Amino acid sequence: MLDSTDPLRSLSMFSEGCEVAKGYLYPFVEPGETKYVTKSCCNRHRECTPTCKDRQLGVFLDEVGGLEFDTHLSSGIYTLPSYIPTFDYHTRGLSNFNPKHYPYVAVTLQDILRSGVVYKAGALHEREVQYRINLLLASAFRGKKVILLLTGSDTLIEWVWYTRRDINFFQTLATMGFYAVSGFNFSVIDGECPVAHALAQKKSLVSCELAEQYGIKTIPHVYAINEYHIRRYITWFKNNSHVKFCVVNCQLQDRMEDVQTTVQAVKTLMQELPYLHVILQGFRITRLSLFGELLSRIHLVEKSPIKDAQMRRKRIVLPNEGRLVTGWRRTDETMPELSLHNANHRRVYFELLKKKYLPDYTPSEQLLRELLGTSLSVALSR
Amino acid sequence: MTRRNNMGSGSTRKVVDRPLIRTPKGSRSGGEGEGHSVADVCIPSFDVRIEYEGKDGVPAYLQRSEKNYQVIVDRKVVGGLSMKLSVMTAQCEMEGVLYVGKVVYDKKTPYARFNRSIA
Repeated sequence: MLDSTDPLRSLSMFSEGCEVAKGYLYPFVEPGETKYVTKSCCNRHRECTPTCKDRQLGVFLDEVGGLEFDTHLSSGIYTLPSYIPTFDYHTRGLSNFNPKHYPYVAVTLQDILRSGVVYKAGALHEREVQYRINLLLASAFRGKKVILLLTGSDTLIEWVWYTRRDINFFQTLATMGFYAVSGFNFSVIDGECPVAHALAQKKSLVSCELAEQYGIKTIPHVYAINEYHIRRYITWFKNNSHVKFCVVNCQLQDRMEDVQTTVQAVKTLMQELPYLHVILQGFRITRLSLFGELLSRIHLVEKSPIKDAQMRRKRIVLPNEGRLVTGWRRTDETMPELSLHNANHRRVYFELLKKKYLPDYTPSEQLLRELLGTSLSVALSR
Repeated sequence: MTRRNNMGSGSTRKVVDRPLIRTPKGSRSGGEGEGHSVADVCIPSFDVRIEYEGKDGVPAYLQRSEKNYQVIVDRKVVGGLSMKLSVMTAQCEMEGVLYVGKVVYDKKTPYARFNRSIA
């Protein structure tokens, strides 16, 4: 009987051209991973990533201490709310998000920088990095714990990583007062060289390690696109069992097919690691039901309430139906009021999902009343 | 059966976001020399003002002349690169880095937009 897991089956025209097929860098990168290679590993000018054929690959491997997943993280996060809104630089003045209801908020890399990349002539160009060093003094962040998500364009994150020593990156983050910082989300692109994947994943873990050296709490970032990657991360989490949280950037997954496989991958991690909590960044809230009973360990961090408000969209939870609908209507409410409304309703929607899928979960009635106002919360309590 | 997951960044890279990765700073064998690598010399894109009245999206080409590079659209010379851009383009061409162009309009003003393309 044919073995469908045999790496020599279903090879692409580029699989055998990848050095990994010869066992190069085994056991850190497995030859079987080449079955997913659909793009040439020849990349002379290192566009977007180094590959197995890079003349100076050794330098890149030295920078991260090789491809072995041996990074050790010590400072863990042990508790987070299930819903965390993300603010950006332009909404730093929002002062109506009560820390009682929103004790944790998030920002992303581009929002803490005054400059770093610029969009010009149809492409992103690197520029000198300058910080918004006092960003967390703005009213949106006052009295709250702020999580920095090191996500952004490849041009930005690769540029910041390259210049990190010159710009005292991690020292600066340590002085800005973040509660925690995620690992960089270096891209892991389907079909590219497995060495590029492993290097991106290791760099991200090393970025957490470097942040920790400056006393910053970190949350590792996970990008896993095949079973080899998932296995690698499971082993790493088992060796770092005090790491209870990881973050997965889902902003680029929109097709249902991709969402399903993301859900499967996250589920596999959570089932293998029954203590692991996963923070989904930018995952569509109406698809959270796909996690079913695992929702108790799912956390959502999203900018949608703010983005919707900026576009004058109003999201409304229908408590009796457990649905979240879009008003699509212009209102006279101010942008801050609409942002808070959207966040409150999305949060209640999440609470209702948990109530539906978790047998022992009962949302706090007082919280729902405070988030929705009396009329809707009465309907909810029925 | 093995299953393929698209949990990462997706399956394609955006044209606007394709950085060239530099050798890590401070590495012993980082021999490219800071400021002189292809990533430093060959900028991701540039616009050149042209004299053109056709549609946007039409391909634009670069053709070397005695002094500089000329911009060709519909087989006609519609503009030229500055000396600085011409020097850069020539250097990049020798390294196998080309610029692929098309016509764009910005506030009704026609430009040839050239994006870095690795040969």
